[in-house]
Amino acid sequence: MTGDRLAAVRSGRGADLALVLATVLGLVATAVHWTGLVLAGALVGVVASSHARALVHGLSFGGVALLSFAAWLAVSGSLLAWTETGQVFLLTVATAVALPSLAAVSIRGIV
Amino acid sequence: MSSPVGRAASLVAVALLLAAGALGGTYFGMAAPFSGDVYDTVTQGAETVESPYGSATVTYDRWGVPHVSAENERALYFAVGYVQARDRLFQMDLQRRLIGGRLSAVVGERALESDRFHRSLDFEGAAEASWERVRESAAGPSLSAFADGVNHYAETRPLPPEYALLDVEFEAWTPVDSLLVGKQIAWSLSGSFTDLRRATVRSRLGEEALALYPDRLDHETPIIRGESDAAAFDPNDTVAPSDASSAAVAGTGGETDGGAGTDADFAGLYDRLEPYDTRPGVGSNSWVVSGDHTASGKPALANDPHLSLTVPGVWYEMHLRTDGMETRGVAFPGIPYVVIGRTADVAWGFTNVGGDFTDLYTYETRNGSYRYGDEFRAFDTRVESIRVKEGDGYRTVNHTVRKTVHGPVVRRAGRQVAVAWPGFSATNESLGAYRLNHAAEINDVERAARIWDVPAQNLVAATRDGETLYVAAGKYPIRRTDGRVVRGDRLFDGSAKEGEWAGYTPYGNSSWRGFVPFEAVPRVENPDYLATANQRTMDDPPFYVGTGETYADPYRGQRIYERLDRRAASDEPMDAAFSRSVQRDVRSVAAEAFTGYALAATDEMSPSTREYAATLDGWNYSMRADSEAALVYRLWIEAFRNETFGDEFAAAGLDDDYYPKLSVLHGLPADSEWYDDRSTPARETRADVAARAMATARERIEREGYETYGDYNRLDLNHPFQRAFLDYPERPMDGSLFTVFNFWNGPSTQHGSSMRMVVAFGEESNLVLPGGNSGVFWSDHYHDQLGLWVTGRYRTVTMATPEREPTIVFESAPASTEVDG
Repeated sequence: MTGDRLAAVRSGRGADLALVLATVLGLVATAVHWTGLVLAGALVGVVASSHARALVHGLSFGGVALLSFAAWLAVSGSLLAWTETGQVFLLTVATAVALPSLAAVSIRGIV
Repeated sequence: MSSPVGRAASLVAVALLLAAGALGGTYFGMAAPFSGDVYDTVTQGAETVESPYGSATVTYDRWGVPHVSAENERALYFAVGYVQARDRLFQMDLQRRLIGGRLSAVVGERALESDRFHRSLDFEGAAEASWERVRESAAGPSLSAFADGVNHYAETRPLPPEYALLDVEFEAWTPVDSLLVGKQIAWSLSGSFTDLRRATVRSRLGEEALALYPDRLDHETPIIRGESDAAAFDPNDTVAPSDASSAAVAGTGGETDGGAGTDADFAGLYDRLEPYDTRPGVGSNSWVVSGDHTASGKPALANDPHLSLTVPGVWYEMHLRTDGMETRGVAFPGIPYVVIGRTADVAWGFTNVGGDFTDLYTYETRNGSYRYGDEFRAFDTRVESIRVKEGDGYRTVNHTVRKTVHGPVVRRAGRQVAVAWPGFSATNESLGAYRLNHAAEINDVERAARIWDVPAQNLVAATRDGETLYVAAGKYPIRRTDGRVVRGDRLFDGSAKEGEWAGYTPYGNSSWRGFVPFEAVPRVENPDYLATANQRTMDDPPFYVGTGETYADPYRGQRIYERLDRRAASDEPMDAAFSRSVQRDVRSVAAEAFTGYALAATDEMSPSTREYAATLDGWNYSMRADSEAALVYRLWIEAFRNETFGDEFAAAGLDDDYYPKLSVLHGLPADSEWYDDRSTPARETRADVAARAMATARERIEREGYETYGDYNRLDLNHPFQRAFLDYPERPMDGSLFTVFNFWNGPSTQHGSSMRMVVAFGEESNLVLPGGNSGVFWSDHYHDQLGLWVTGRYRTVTMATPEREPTIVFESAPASTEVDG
């Protein structure tokens, strides 16, 4: 993708759509493997208009991933149990927030 | 174009990301949302599974109990293996690792001592011998199919979260593993180092201290209160060890290198072995009632085994059905059969025979050999490697396993003994359980009891047709020294061939020809009603069974018989509701016996202490969580025991594990020298000690801020993994070690009713577990029965399968599928 096209995706009319697509693809990748969180961060970061926006996108994706995960647990009847897992709960939250955020900021410096 | 700040931020982020990936990949793989290994078992939905043995269905009910139905037995047990793995895989794995001495590979250094002990006793060799014996029996195919089912689950479905948390792999399950689990249960119920404890007390406190350990506890409520229906028997008529005539060969006078006489001090060795000795809280209740005493005219049976309370619980409930067989009840995870439960027409229950089934042998040793008769023999020695988890890797520790002609050797601090236990031989308990699962009449129970070897069990049974049975099933060794029959309550000089068992081959096939024949073991045919609570089997058995040390204190047995006798004398039936009420009974006969000692000592107490003692006045001896009197009594009796024996025993370097039975303490005269405090010039009596103990109890209550018994007597069951979220919720508890409603909060473990079951053929049957049927933390059935169990409530259980779609459908695999075993 050329610089102009990328700039158009980042700040043009399709920016929001690109972010939604990146988020959906990221969630699919997240469901498969933990590196999916990194890929998701890269996707939402690459469509960010700035480093600061990339960080916001990464953090936001982490929040969306956690909300989706909590909803899945709630449907499975395990939401309360998850909150009682202590270190595992904190590790999950930290993983969901940190990996996409770091990946988003990283990719924004590369592409 | 990125700004310099942005580029710097990106560089930092890249560096952090790479570092996180390198250092934290394992943790992300474990706990990442959705894909983390610990979340693999969050959803356990409907499944279709290929089975090499034929079709089967599994329908879970609302309590997570699997109802398994199959077209043939192998298909049934393949499905049973699959569902046990689905619900309890990690627990099964941990159990086989524990008894096989392979726990360090999972949990590291802290299990090394346990692994050394279990390797020394070579339970794995014993399980292999059992497998060689039963593989060609009717039980063999079911054990193989079960193992295949376990492995099929582990290969095709997510492993429980514990595997991710520990970062360990599952190794294939084998039929030997199922038998290994059986050995673990058998050892925990009948393996004992009591003889070492007794020898140590004698060497430290003198011969007179042995009066604290009488051959027979002073009570009049044995299991069999009338006559046994066993055949007449004289142990002198049994076969003696073939070469016993050479038993009395004198020692060679050679230099010894670790051998010891039977009168040596074994405290160092016992201290090492004490964690693996039979636990003080292990006991059980059962009773069987004939149709003459029920409203329906059909028999009823109740059973609640008192075992370690664990997370998950020791029992797994299941309902199995195939052509010619239907059974429901509880199994130990890893064992394919219902161990306690019922078929359509027969119910059975077990409690432990409090007998003596372990003998220990000392030797004269020289240059790594031991003397046996008139020759020195080399120890049968094998060096094994124990893998110990350490960080991300393992280290290997070599351990030497030594055996003599009598059995495996345990050693420490320059002391060693060989251990003889029927369970080291090839045993049949799996075939016995298999037969019980097929029982249609009382003769089928007899067939199972006849081959039952370890652990010896008080088997009670009832049939829909109205028959009842009690038999103390098991293998009872006859010991001989110099050809004479001797008791087993002492260490034996193995070099002089003392106390040998004829017909016993450790790690091989025993003929049992020198053991008590089945026809002669205590039994009652068609008892009106009969109760067992690990107390003395009968008053004057024709052969040595056990001692006051191996049998339980009489209190539970007395209380159960008190309730049954009173009911039998009334017009009220002993129906299921009555049996449930007896299982809930919290009246302590021990408290009834001892409270008078405290109340008689109030003159010796300070006014503030006397106030606490006053709570016992008029108390109904009910060990209820909301009772202040129960709290005072419990802390007082603990202090009373310590105040009585602590000075003498502590001075001899012996802790409270060596204290005698509570009923022995009760029988001491008021001026017994054991009441005297050696550190004072005065001569204390029972009243002095009782008053002092009450002061100790008062101080403890005030210091800890206890208000009622439930503040102290708390259920606190923790997962072995030591992660708080895996633990069960803490609860205040009714009951004590000496109440029928049994619960004991020991310093390191907790014991109590590991399940409660009532089967009444003419009406409803009940069961409840101390937790839940699933060992999977995410499951709704992880501890969904805990509240029922704590409060003495039950579930109704039937032989009906829930009318809903099966959760798991097993379909016949294509014929080309290879079947192992």
